[in-house]
Amino acid sequence: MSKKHNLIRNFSIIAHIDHGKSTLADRMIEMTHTVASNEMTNQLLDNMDLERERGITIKAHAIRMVYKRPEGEYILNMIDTPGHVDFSYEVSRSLAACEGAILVVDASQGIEAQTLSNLYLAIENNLTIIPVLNKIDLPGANPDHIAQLVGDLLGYDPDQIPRISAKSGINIQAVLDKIVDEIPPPEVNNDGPLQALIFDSVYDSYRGVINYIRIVQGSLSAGQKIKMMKSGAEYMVTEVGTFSMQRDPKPELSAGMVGYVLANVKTISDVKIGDTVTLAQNPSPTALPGYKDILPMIFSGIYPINPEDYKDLRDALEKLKLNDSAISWEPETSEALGFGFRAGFLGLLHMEIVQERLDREFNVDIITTVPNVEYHVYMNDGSHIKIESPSKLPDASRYDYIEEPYVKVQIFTPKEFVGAMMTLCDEKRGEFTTMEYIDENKVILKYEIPLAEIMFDFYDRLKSVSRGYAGLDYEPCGYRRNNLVKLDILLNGDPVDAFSVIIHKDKSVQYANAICVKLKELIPRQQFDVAIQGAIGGKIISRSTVKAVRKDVLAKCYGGDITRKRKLLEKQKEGKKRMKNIGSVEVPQKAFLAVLSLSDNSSSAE
Amino acid sequence: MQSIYIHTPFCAKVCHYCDFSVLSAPERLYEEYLSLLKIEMEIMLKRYPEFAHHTETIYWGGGTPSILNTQQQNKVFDILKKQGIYFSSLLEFSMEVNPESCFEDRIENAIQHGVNRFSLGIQTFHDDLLKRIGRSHDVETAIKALQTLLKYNSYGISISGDLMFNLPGQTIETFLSDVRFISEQNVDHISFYGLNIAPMTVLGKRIERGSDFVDESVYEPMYLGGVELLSKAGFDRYEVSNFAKPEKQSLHNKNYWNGGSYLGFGPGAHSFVGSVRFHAPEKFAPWRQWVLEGCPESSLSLDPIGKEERLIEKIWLSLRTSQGLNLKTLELESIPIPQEAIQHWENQKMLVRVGDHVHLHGRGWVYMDSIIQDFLR
Ligand SMILES: Nc1nc2c(ncn2[C@@H]2O[C@H](COP(=O)(O)OP(=O)(O)OP(=O)(O)O)[C@@H](O)[C@H]2O)c(=O)[nH]1
Ligand code: SF4
Ligand SMILES: [Mg+2]
Repeated sequence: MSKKHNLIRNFSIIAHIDHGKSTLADRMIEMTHTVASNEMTNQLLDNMDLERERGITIKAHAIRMVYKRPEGEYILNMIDTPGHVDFSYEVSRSLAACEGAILVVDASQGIEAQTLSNLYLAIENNLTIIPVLNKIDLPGANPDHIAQLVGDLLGYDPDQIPRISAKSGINIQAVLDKIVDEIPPPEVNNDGPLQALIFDSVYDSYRGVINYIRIVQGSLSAGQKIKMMKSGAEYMVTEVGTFSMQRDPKPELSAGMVGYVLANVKTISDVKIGDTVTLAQNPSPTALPGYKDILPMIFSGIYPINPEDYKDLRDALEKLKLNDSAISWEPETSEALGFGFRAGFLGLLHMEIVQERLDREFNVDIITTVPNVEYHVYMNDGSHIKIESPSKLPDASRYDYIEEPYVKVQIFTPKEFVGAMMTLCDEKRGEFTTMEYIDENKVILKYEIPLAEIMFDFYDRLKSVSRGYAGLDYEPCGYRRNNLVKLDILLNGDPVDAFSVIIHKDKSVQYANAICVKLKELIPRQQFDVAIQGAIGGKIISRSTVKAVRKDVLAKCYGGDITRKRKLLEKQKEGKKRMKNIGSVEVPQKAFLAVLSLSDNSSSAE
Repeated sequence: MQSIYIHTPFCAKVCHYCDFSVLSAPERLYEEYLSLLKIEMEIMLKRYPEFAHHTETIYWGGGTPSILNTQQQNKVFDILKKQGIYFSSLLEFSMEVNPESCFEDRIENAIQHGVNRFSLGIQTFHDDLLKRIGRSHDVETAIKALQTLLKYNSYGISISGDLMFNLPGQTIETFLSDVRFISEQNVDHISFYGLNIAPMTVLGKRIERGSDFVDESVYEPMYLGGVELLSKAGFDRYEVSNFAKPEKQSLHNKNYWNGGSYLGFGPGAHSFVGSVRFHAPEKFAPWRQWVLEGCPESSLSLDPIGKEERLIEKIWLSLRTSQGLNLKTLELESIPIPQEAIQHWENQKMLVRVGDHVHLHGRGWVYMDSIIQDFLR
């Protein structure tokens, strides 16, 4: 019995973004003949359309491989993780299901922000870490130097670190062998009552919720009745199995194995990622620790364009949450947009991805509003409230002051960009803490910056000032009192709650000007003039006007040419779909996110 | 209803705003065109024989059909006759005429062969404006042409005077004086279209360069003023740009708006047969080649009209007419009635609902497309 489990290895691949995790996964999938060679593609595990289009991993993807050595056949359960800072929750969940992690480091770029943050996550989880230097084929690679740095960081003999090229398939076997030799097999107990951790799930309209589980104790097979420990819901198991690329049904899953379970679960709320599955007959007295709840960093309104789609939107959010447990939401109403939700996200990219997935996978047309952080408002009577939406801010006469969240930011940058980085951080109201050298060329700058300031264009600015070389990582570090005001945007005199923002007083005029100019570009001309105004506490500080269109009539449909005009109408109709009537003004969906595309050198309004 | 459209792609000179596929060509090309038209008609009417037997209206447009002399005209009439189209059974046979080629012999010959409606492209009664848009005629010629046509009025021949507005340099008063003038002649049909600036035209380029200018803000007062004048003069608006004395609406145009079938001949002519819209190659040379190859269906660009397309066309074309859209049509197709949009435009007094029908009202005609869009969502 126990011998069999000596042949299992569970590990994740972690790294900074783009250091080659998914490409290394490809090579290991190939070497273990997990997928027929004619089905092989680049970044095979990145199977969501969005991942392929953007060339980045968004979700952790698990796959089971069989690696043959003379002494036996090893089962390698591998999880490829995303590198982007917004998705570190995916990394931490993946790590919780493993005994080991491969830390990939780009041999030319060296140690970067998420190299460190993901490494610390792995250490927190007590994992065995195997460092790997990738991209040694690149002319700029400096494997010996980087090996030294990584070796120092981990206490790993630099000479023992595999130097590989995932792209050209150099030295991949060394990695596979290290996985087998260095990562311990899972400790398993096949005898106790079933404990299986749900680490991911997805909704399938035919089969219901498909739960991805790792069996920690006991075993599970079709025909058994399971119980979800949090919700108490019970279901009859119809199928269990493992996954290579497709689902691969198996008679039984036993302790140490990773696989899926089908039980015709149609009630989505019965399933929680991180919950423990046990048997209804012989339940485990205790649940597994599961996952820490993750706190959202930013919030934004999500509204259906058509009010009738409210229920569809809620269903879509619930189904999406099965596959992305980092989203949270609660109902919200907006005067301008009607019934919708206030949703929390881990960052801007996360928000964008959620929005895209709602559109593509669930086909609901939505409007998302300007994202913001959570503010703490201290009232005159000494009480304090938390607000996730600027429209909830009480009247200025009722509160004393507002606090905003700060983050500790670590910027990894080549030395020559230090000056530029400091200018950027100053502009973003940052406070300098320290600077540390990684080696003679590369430094870590530490700042404390209001979260609201790094949320929007900070990352892009950082990349452009450093020609792509700098990276960053951040973590919350409490709240601070600042001179914050609420800026309202009015369309033809009526404030539109969905446009309101809370902003530092010193930046309000510049912002208001920029937003008025941007909205003027984005709001199409209508049958009347549309006045756009920015106001603080009723005082107008900025304004622009969308001039009325004087006519809107298609020319003659000459000689029966109906096709051309109809096609034109069809095209315009697609544009209209994404419009929302705010009072009598038609506002396009993208206007609600106008702030995300504000230029830095905001010109003045009108 | 079934209709035939014949396209003659020649003009004396190409107007500065024109983006149709027309050419100002040497006369020898006319002969070649006529022999190709003959081949095309023979092939297409054999392919769609129902048009030979049951056509009720013919529209001969262009370009400038009146550019052809009587002999050349007769070639067209002969082909039609040979194909078994009897003019006595037609409800309407319209021909477009431009002032500079509105000669008495041509008109008389056309009438003898069954044409019973002429549409005269006057555009404006102001020489400076005619020049500015590059028309081939002047005011004097236009008035003469009108008089020529009006002679046949008492023989039951319908005459339409066609104007344009929102021209560069045109004031509200000059346009309204045009409308007043034409309405006082003995015509029984008037149309006026707002100028549409196409970028790839002489005028379009001039405007882009900034050396000419169209003031959109006069569109509305011109349009609404023109409509009011005509209504007082007894011309009923039956479509956004078409006005007629009682019983004098153009049946051919109505067939387009009602979703009827039609078969077109000549370069770029459009057809709607069965549930497919298609058109011949637009430029002369490709059209010639297509005809000589036997008008192969395979080289046409087809636009099959399914449920969705049919509905869009229905909504759009109905709302262009005074009768408006019957909301029952939406119900029959189980499309929800856009109550919110209707309310929105009713509040702005741009749309009126009477029983099952909605139709444009007041300024609504000026914002027709915005309103139609709201019905298509
Ligand atoms: N030259 C070279 N390029 C490589 C190598 N490995 C990966 N790449 C390239 O690096 C880019 C990023 O590779 P991915 O495998 O998608 O990186 P990742 O770490 O999975 O990225 P995220 O999942 O978005 O964090 C791709 O263009 C790869 O082709 C290598 O060994 N040599
Ligand atoms: S007469 Fe009509 S078709 Fe001919 S060029 Fe002028 S606008 Fe174009
Ligand atoms: Mg990846």
